[in-house]
Amino acid sequence: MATLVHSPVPQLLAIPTGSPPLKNINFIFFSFFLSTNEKNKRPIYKTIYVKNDRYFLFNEDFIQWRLFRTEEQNRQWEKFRLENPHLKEDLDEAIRRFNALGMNRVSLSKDEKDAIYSAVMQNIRKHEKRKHRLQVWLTATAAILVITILSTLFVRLNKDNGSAFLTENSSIIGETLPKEEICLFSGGDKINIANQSDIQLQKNAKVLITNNTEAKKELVLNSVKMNKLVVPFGKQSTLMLADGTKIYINSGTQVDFPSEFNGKTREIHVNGEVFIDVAEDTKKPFIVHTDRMDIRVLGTSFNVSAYRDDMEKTVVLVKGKVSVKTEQQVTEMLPNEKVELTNGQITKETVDVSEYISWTNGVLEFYETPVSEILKKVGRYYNVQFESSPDIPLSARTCSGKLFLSNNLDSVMTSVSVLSSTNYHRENNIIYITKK
Amino acid sequence: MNTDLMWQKFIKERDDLSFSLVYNTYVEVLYAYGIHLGFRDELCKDAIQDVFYNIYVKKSELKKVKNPTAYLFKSYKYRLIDLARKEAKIETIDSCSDSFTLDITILDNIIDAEESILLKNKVKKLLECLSGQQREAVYMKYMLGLGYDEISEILQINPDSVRKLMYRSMEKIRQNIDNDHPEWLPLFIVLFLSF
Repeated sequence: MATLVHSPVPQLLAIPTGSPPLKNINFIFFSFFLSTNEKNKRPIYKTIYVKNDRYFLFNEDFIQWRLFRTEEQNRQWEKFRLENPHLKEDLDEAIRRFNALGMNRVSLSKDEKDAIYSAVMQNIRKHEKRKHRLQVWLTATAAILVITILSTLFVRLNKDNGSAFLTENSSIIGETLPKEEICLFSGGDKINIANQSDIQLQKNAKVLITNNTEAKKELVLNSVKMNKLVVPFGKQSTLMLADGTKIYINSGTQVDFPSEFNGKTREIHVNGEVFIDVAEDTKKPFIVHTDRMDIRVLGTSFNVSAYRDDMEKTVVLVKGKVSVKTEQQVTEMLPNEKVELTNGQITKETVDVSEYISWTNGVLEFYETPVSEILKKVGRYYNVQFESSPDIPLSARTCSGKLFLSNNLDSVMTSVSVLSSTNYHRENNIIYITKK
Repeated sequence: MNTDLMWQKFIKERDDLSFSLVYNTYVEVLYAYGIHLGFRDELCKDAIQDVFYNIYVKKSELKKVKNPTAYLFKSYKYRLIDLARKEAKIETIDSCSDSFTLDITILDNIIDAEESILLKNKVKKLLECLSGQQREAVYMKYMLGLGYDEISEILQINPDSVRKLMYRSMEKIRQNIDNDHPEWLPLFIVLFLSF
């Protein structure tokens, strides 16, 4: 390392621009010649007169020192300064001048700066508004739990009575997203699949699709290429892979999987949230690839939430053993642990797993969860957004409890508006809550 | 202005004024950094928006932040990569560091024009031989005044590797200089002069 930092006395000092006596030059070069024979190949000069700061400013050693400022360099130059008090002023002047040097200075016009700033503030105001909205909504969460049960009971009772009343309970979910269907892509083919379907892979790339309304459908997938299952916001699905691994797929998720696992490993790609119950096969490790991390498992069940849009990505392990690999590190997980990846940083903690996997049963479970998180999840499930006027009084910021994800958002909303004495109206995917 | 003090004020008081001070201090350097990583103008602006939105909304989490500059640059780089990934233009952090460029500028009034050009060219030439990542590290050290630990977080390599990266950069520059001034040249001159 010593060879990296050289005597700070600049090499070019040997030839001042004036015209020093010829003998002097001779002497200097001679000393250069001698010193190159030494172990340290670089020439070392001791005392040479310097007239101004230019010698320092354009000297490579000086420039390197200013750029890198390693401890070693600092020491050497400090020493030089002490040994050459007559050069101190020149050196300081050179440092001052060098400081005028900048890298990658780009200027933005005031308009550009202001435009970004106001966009930020606008988003912040929206966020603050959403907070109001959340709180209204929260006072209603406990109610929704009861109300969804009540309303379904009510509908059932009516049905039992043979009444036509409310039999046509319109579903907002269907209306908010009429076009986006769950799609299965397989080697150029596109297959539309109804919501809440079970997709089951069988031998020879056959696939069986079951759902509560339609009859079973059987198809043959492309056996060579990867298949892609796209579940849009507002929809959910389950997928049984060829090896018996079961995947619950949450809204707004995309899963890439092969028709059969023929290689040494079983690998799938996920963008979004899934709960995976991996079929045990110690010889073929199961690997889940996501945007920022890979999860390697040997027979276990766990939940992965890795939406590209979310800055935090989480893995929650229910049972078994998995290792999580990011670009930087690998970490092993034990059951009931949660690994969170934010900005490349991994944090691990013990959690109540039910909170993270309850969505697979059509229930959202929260324990002192920030309201923003709850709304995000609910919004994803129903593919709606909530807006409220800011004059609605605020309540707590976190919330605990269970929320049943009923199919009929409309009846839920009607009850909510009655109970919280608010009105609501819908515009496309946004539900506005206002004071009565 | 002491950026740390300003940041502390922002964390403590959480008002729009201190927020706008933080914003104005960092917006240009962040933008320039993104541009020199090779991202396009719009993407850089979007990422800046997201980063500042996040620090405002997540104020309570910022208490842990030791160095605001390092924190902002790190979040910003991640956001840039995330946004670029959505457009499927970039795969890893390395691939954007590789293309990191350095523009040397010299402020007026401190050095005269001729000197300024000389210095600029000299520094440019010295840094020319460095890799993208080495240039990025030099930038972080010189322009942002960050330490090895902080640079390591932004570059996503360990602090020891940053140290090595720096030493290798210096070594490279040194070799480059040596190539420009071959050691046998003075020998010739000495021989010539002695005749």
